[in-house]
Amino acid sequence: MHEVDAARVQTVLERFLADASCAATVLIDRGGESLAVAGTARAFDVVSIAALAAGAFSSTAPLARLLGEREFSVLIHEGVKESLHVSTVDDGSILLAIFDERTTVGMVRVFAREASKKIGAILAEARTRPRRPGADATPATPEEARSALPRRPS
Amino acid sequence: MTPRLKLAMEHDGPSRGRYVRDLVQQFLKLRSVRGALLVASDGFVIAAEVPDSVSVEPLAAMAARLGRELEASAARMGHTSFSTAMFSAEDGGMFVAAAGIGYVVVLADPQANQEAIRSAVEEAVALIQAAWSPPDGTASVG
Repeated sequence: MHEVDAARVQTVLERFLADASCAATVLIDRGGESLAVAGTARAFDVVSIAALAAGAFSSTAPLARLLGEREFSVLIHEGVKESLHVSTVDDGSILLAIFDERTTVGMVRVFAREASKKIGAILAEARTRPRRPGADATPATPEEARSALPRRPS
Repeated sequence: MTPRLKLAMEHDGPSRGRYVRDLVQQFLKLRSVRGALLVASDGFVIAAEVPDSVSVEPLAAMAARLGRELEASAARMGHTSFSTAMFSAEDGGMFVAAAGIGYVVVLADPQANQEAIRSAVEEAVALIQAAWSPPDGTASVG
Protein backbone atom coordinates (compact mmCIF):
# COMPACT_ATOMS: atom_id res chain seq x y z
CA MET A 1 0.00 0.00 0.00
CA HIS A 2 1.28 3.48 -0.88
CA GLU A 3 2.27 5.67 2.08
CA VAL A 4 -0.50 8.14 1.27
CA ASP A 5 -3.13 5.38 1.28
CA ALA A 6 -1.68 3.90 4.49
CA ALA A 7 -2.02 7.33 6.14
CA ARG A 8 -5.63 7.63 4.94
CA VAL A 9 -6.45 4.16 6.31
CA GLN A 10 -4.79 5.12 9.61
CA THR A 11 -6.96 8.27 9.82
CA VAL A 12 -10.12 6.20 9.29
CA LEU A 13 -9.03 3.70 11.97
CA GLU A 14 -8.27 6.50 14.46
CA ARG A 15 -11.67 8.07 13.80
CA PHE A 16 -13.42 4.70 14.18
CA LEU A 17 -11.58 4.12 17.44
CA ALA A 18 -12.67 7.48 18.86
CA ASP A 19 -16.26 7.30 17.59
CA ALA A 20 -16.96 3.76 18.79
CA SER A 21 -14.83 4.03 21.98
CA CYS A 22 -12.99 0.80 21.16
CA ALA A 23 -9.77 -0.21 22.92
CA ALA A 24 -8.04 -1.10 19.67
CA THR A 25 -8.72 -1.70 16.02
CA VAL A 26 -6.66 -3.65 13.51
CA LEU A 27 -6.97 -3.93 9.74
CA ILE A 28 -5.76 -7.36 8.65
CA ASP A 29 -5.59 -9.29 5.41
CA ARG A 30 -7.38 -12.60 4.96
CA GLY A 31 -4.20 -14.43 5.85
CA GLY A 32 -4.10 -12.78 9.29
CA GLU A 33 -1.32 -10.31 8.52
CA SER A 34 -1.73 -6.93 10.22
CA LEU A 35 -1.98 -4.01 7.73
CA ALA A 36 -2.72 -1.13 10.13
CA VAL A 37 -3.29 -0.74 13.87
CA ALA A 38 -4.84 1.96 16.04
CA GLY A 39 -5.44 2.25 19.76
CA THR A 40 -3.97 0.43 22.70
CA ALA A 41 -3.33 -2.66 20.60
CA ARG A 42 0.18 -2.81 22.03
CA ALA A 43 -1.38 -4.17 25.22
CA PHE A 44 -2.65 -7.15 23.23
CA ASP A 45 -0.85 -9.83 21.27
CA VAL A 46 -1.96 -8.34 17.95
CA VAL A 47 -0.10 -10.87 15.81
CA SER A 48 -1.90 -13.81 17.44
CA ILE A 49 -5.27 -12.03 17.58
CA ALA A 50 -5.04 -11.14 13.89
CA ALA A 51 -4.07 -14.67 12.86
CA LEU A 52 -6.74 -16.34 15.01
CA ALA A 53 -9.46 -13.88 13.98
CA ALA A 54 -8.68 -14.45 10.30
CA GLY A 55 -8.78 -18.20 10.94
CA ALA A 56 -12.09 -17.94 12.81
CA PHE A 57 -13.50 -15.89 9.96
CA SER A 58 -12.49 -18.32 7.24
CA SER A 59 -13.60 -21.33 9.32
CA THR A 60 -17.18 -20.00 9.42
CA ALA A 61 -17.34 -19.69 5.62
CA PRO A 62 -18.45 -23.35 5.11
CA LEU A 63 -21.20 -22.79 7.69
CA ALA A 64 -22.29 -19.67 5.83
CA ARG A 65 -22.36 -21.59 2.55
CA LEU A 66 -24.68 -24.18 4.14
CA LEU A 67 -27.07 -21.28 4.72
CA GLY A 68 -26.69 -20.10 1.13
CA GLU A 69 -24.34 -17.25 2.03
CA ARG A 70 -20.86 -16.76 0.56
CA GLU A 71 -19.55 -15.84 4.00
CA PHE A 72 -20.69 -14.11 7.16
CA SER A 73 -19.95 -10.41 7.06
CA VAL A 74 -19.71 -9.91 10.83
CA LEU A 75 -18.57 -12.11 13.71
CA ILE A 76 -18.86 -11.03 17.33
CA HIS A 77 -16.99 -12.79 20.12
CA GLU A 78 -18.41 -11.52 23.39
CA GLY A 79 -16.45 -11.92 26.61
CA VAL A 80 -17.18 -10.88 30.19
CA LYS A 81 -14.89 -7.85 29.92
CA GLU A 82 -13.35 -7.75 26.47
CA SER A 83 -15.10 -8.47 23.19
CA LEU A 84 -14.08 -8.73 19.58
CA HIS A 85 -15.97 -7.47 16.52
CA VAL A 86 -14.75 -8.88 13.22
CA SER A 87 -16.17 -7.58 9.94
CA THR A 88 -15.31 -7.83 6.26
CA VAL A 89 -13.94 -4.80 4.45
CA ASP A 90 -13.54 -6.38 1.02
CA ASP A 91 -12.40 -9.67 -0.50
CA GLY A 92 -8.88 -9.11 0.79
CA SER A 93 -9.20 -7.54 4.21
CA ILE A 94 -10.96 -7.70 7.56
CA LEU A 95 -11.49 -5.09 10.26
CA LEU A 96 -11.04 -6.13 13.91
CA ALA A 97 -12.25 -4.09 16.85
CA ILE A 98 -11.40 -4.94 20.45
CA PHE A 99 -13.77 -3.29 22.89
CA ASP A 100 -14.98 -3.48 26.48
CA GLU A 101 -17.97 -2.41 28.58
CA ARG A 102 -17.32 1.28 27.85
CA THR A 103 -19.18 0.86 24.56
CA THR A 104 -21.85 -1.41 23.07
CA VAL A 105 -21.90 -3.96 20.27
CA GLY A 106 -24.46 -1.78 18.50
CA MET A 107 -22.20 1.25 18.65
CA VAL A 108 -19.20 -0.71 17.34
CA ARG A 109 -21.32 -2.21 14.54
CA VAL A 110 -22.59 1.19 13.38
CA PHE A 111 -19.12 2.71 13.18
CA ALA A 112 -17.40 -0.44 11.89
CA ARG A 113 -19.79 -0.46 8.94
CA GLU A 114 -18.92 3.14 8.17
CA ALA A 115 -15.15 2.57 8.60
CA SER A 116 -15.26 -0.55 6.41
CA LYS A 117 -16.89 1.37 3.58
CA LYS A 118 -14.26 4.11 3.76
CA ILE A 119 -11.33 1.69 4.01
CA GLY A 120 -12.74 -0.44 1.20
CA ALA A 121 -12.88 2.63 -1.04
CA ILE A 122 -9.29 3.60 -0.14
CA LEU A 123 -8.00 0.07 -0.82
CA ALA A 124 -9.89 -0.13 -4.12
CA GLU A 125 -8.37 3.17 -5.17
CA ALA A 126 -4.92 2.03 -3.98
CA ARG A 127 -5.12 -1.09 -6.15
CA THR A 128 -5.79 0.95 -9.27
CA ARG A 129 -2.97 3.41 -8.54
CA PRO A 130 0.12 3.06 -10.77
CA ARG A 131 2.92 1.37 -8.82
CA ARG A 132 6.12 3.24 -8.06
CA PRO A 133 9.01 1.10 -6.78
CA GLY A 134 9.94 1.83 -3.16
CA ALA A 135 6.85 3.97 -2.43
CA ASP A 136 4.82 1.28 -0.70
CA ALA A 137 4.38 1.30 3.08
CA THR A 138 2.63 -2.07 3.36
CA PRO A 139 1.35 -4.65 0.84
CA ALA A 140 -2.29 -4.09 -0.18
CA THR A 141 -2.99 -7.79 -0.73
CA PRO A 142 -1.56 -11.14 0.46
CA GLU A 143 -0.31 -11.69 -3.11
CA GLU A 144 1.64 -8.43 -2.91
CA ALA A 145 3.10 -9.49 0.43
CA ARG A 146 4.24 -12.84 -1.01
CA SER A 147 5.65 -11.30 -4.16
CA ALA A 148 7.60 -8.79 -2.05
CA LEU A 149 9.51 -11.60 -0.28
CA PRO A 150 13.08 -12.16 -1.49
CA ARG A 151 13.26 -15.08 -3.89
CA ARG A 152 15.64 -17.97 -3.53
CA PRO A 153 18.14 -18.21 -6.35
CA SER A 154 17.28 -21.27 -8.41
CA MET B 1 -32.61 25.80 12.50
CA THR B 2 -32.26 25.62 16.31
CA PRO B 3 -28.92 26.58 17.93
CA ARG B 4 -28.39 22.94 19.03
CA LEU B 5 -29.04 21.62 15.53
CA LYS B 6 -26.65 24.20 14.08
CA LEU B 7 -24.04 23.11 16.62
CA ALA B 8 -24.54 19.47 15.65
CA MET B 9 -24.16 20.22 11.97
CA GLU B 10 -20.84 21.87 12.74
CA HIS B 11 -19.93 18.99 15.06
CA ASP B 12 -16.54 17.50 14.36
CA GLY B 13 -15.71 16.46 17.90
CA PRO B 14 -13.52 13.60 19.01
CA SER B 15 -16.28 11.00 19.32
CA ARG B 16 -19.67 10.76 17.69
CA GLY B 17 -20.32 7.77 19.96
CA ARG B 18 -19.95 9.94 23.02
CA TYR B 19 -22.10 12.57 21.34
CA VAL B 20 -25.04 10.19 20.79
CA ARG B 21 -24.65 8.84 24.34
CA ASP B 22 -24.93 12.43 25.59
CA LEU B 23 -28.03 12.95 23.48
CA VAL B 24 -29.65 9.86 25.00
CA GLN B 25 -28.69 11.06 28.50
CA GLN B 26 -30.32 14.44 27.83
CA PHE B 27 -33.75 12.78 27.82
CA LEU B 28 -33.40 11.97 31.52
CA LYS B 29 -33.47 15.71 32.26
CA LEU B 30 -37.06 15.86 31.02
CA ARG B 31 -39.64 15.51 33.75
CA SER B 32 -41.30 12.06 33.97
CA VAL B 33 -38.93 10.40 31.54
CA ARG B 34 -37.83 7.02 32.91
CA GLY B 35 -35.25 6.12 30.32
CA ALA B 36 -34.12 6.40 26.74
CA LEU B 37 -32.14 4.39 24.25
CA LEU B 38 -30.86 4.40 20.71
CA VAL B 39 -31.32 1.06 19.01
CA ALA B 40 -29.96 -0.11 15.67
CA SER B 41 -32.57 -1.35 13.19
CA ASP B 42 -31.45 -4.94 13.85
CA GLY B 43 -32.12 -4.55 17.58
CA PHE B 44 -28.59 -4.01 18.84
CA VAL B 45 -28.34 -1.36 21.57
CA ILE B 46 -26.22 1.61 20.49
CA ALA B 47 -26.68 3.67 23.66
CA ALA B 48 -28.99 3.24 26.63
CA GLU B 49 -29.91 5.11 29.81
CA VAL B 50 -32.58 3.07 31.54
CA PRO B 51 -33.21 2.09 35.17
CA ASP B 52 -31.92 -1.28 36.38
CA SER B 53 -35.49 -2.56 36.55
CA VAL B 54 -35.75 -2.39 32.74
CA SER B 55 -34.26 -5.23 30.68
CA VAL B 56 -32.47 -3.31 27.94
CA GLU B 57 -31.96 -6.02 25.34
CA PRO B 58 -35.57 -7.32 25.14
CA LEU B 59 -36.78 -3.72 25.04
CA ALA B 60 -34.32 -2.88 22.25
CA ALA B 61 -35.34 -5.94 20.25
CA MET B 62 -39.03 -5.09 20.62
CA ALA B 63 -38.49 -1.42 19.75
CA ALA B 64 -36.51 -2.31 16.62
CA ARG B 65 -39.23 -4.74 15.57
CA LEU B 66 -41.90 -2.06 16.11
CA GLY B 67 -39.82 0.52 14.26
CA ARG B 68 -39.31 -1.73 11.25
CA GLU B 69 -43.01 -2.62 11.23
CA LEU B 70 -43.97 1.07 11.37
CA GLU B 71 -41.60 1.86 8.50
CA ALA B 72 -43.04 -0.97 6.44
CA SER B 73 -46.57 0.21 7.24
CA ALA B 74 -45.68 3.79 6.31
CA ALA B 75 -44.33 2.55 2.98
CA ARG B 76 -47.54 0.56 2.37
CA MET B 77 -49.54 3.73 3.00
CA GLY B 78 -47.39 5.63 0.52
CA HIS B 79 -45.42 7.63 3.09
CA THR B 80 -41.63 7.80 2.88
CA SER B 81 -41.23 7.03 6.61
CA PHE B 82 -42.82 7.52 9.99
CA SER B 83 -41.47 10.18 12.33
CA THR B 84 -42.63 9.37 15.86
CA ALA B 85 -44.99 6.76 17.24
CA MET B 86 -46.36 6.67 20.76
CA PHE B 87 -47.57 3.60 22.63
CA SER B 88 -49.43 4.27 25.85
CA ALA B 89 -50.43 2.05 28.73
CA GLU B 90 -51.81 2.64 32.22
CA ASP B 91 -48.37 2.68 33.77
CA GLY B 92 -46.62 4.80 31.17
CA GLY B 93 -45.81 5.35 27.55
CA MET B 94 -43.13 4.65 24.97
CA PHE B 95 -42.07 6.88 22.09
CA VAL B 96 -40.33 5.37 19.07
CA ALA B 97 -38.80 7.55 16.35
CA ALA B 98 -36.79 6.68 13.24
CA ALA B 99 -33.31 8.24 13.31
CA GLY B 100 -31.43 6.98 10.27
CA ILE B 101 -28.95 4.76 12.08
CA GLY B 102 -31.76 3.22 14.12
CA TYR B 103 -34.56 4.20 16.45
CA VAL B 104 -34.78 6.58 19.38
CA VAL B 105 -36.86 5.06 22.18
CA VAL B 106 -38.09 7.03 25.21
CA LEU B 107 -39.93 5.56 28.19
CA ALA B 108 -42.16 7.94 30.13
CA ASP B 109 -44.47 7.97 33.14
CA PRO B 110 -48.23 8.35 32.57
CA GLN B 111 -48.24 12.00 33.73
CA ALA B 112 -45.45 13.00 31.33
CA ASN B 113 -45.87 15.98 29.04
CA GLN B 114 -46.22 14.11 25.77
CA GLU B 115 -45.81 17.16 23.58
CA ALA B 116 -42.54 18.11 25.30
CA ILE B 117 -41.19 14.58 24.87
CA ARG B 118 -42.29 14.40 21.24
CA SER B 119 -40.56 17.70 20.56
CA ALA B 120 -37.37 16.51 22.33
CA VAL B 121 -37.44 13.27 20.35
CA GLU B 122 -37.73 15.17 17.08
CA GLU B 123 -34.80 17.38 18.02
CA ALA B 124 -32.68 14.36 19.03
CA VAL B 125 -33.46 12.67 15.70
CA ALA B 126 -32.40 15.80 13.81
CA LEU B 127 -29.18 16.01 15.84
CA ILE B 128 -28.33 12.35 15.26
CA GLN B 129 -28.98 12.64 11.54
CA ALA B 130 -26.91 15.82 11.36
CA ALA B 131 -24.02 14.15 13.20
CA TRP B 132 -24.02 11.33 10.65
CA SER B 133 -24.31 13.48 7.56
CA PRO B 134 -21.03 14.48 5.96
CA PRO B 135 -20.62 18.24 5.38
CA ASP B 136 -21.25 17.89 1.62
CA GLY B 137 -24.63 16.24 2.30
CA THR B 138 -23.78 13.01 0.47
CA ALA B 139 -24.83 9.55 1.61
CA SER B 140 -24.39 8.64 5.27
CA VAL B 141 -24.04 5.32 7.12
CA GLY B 142 -26.27 2.62 5.71
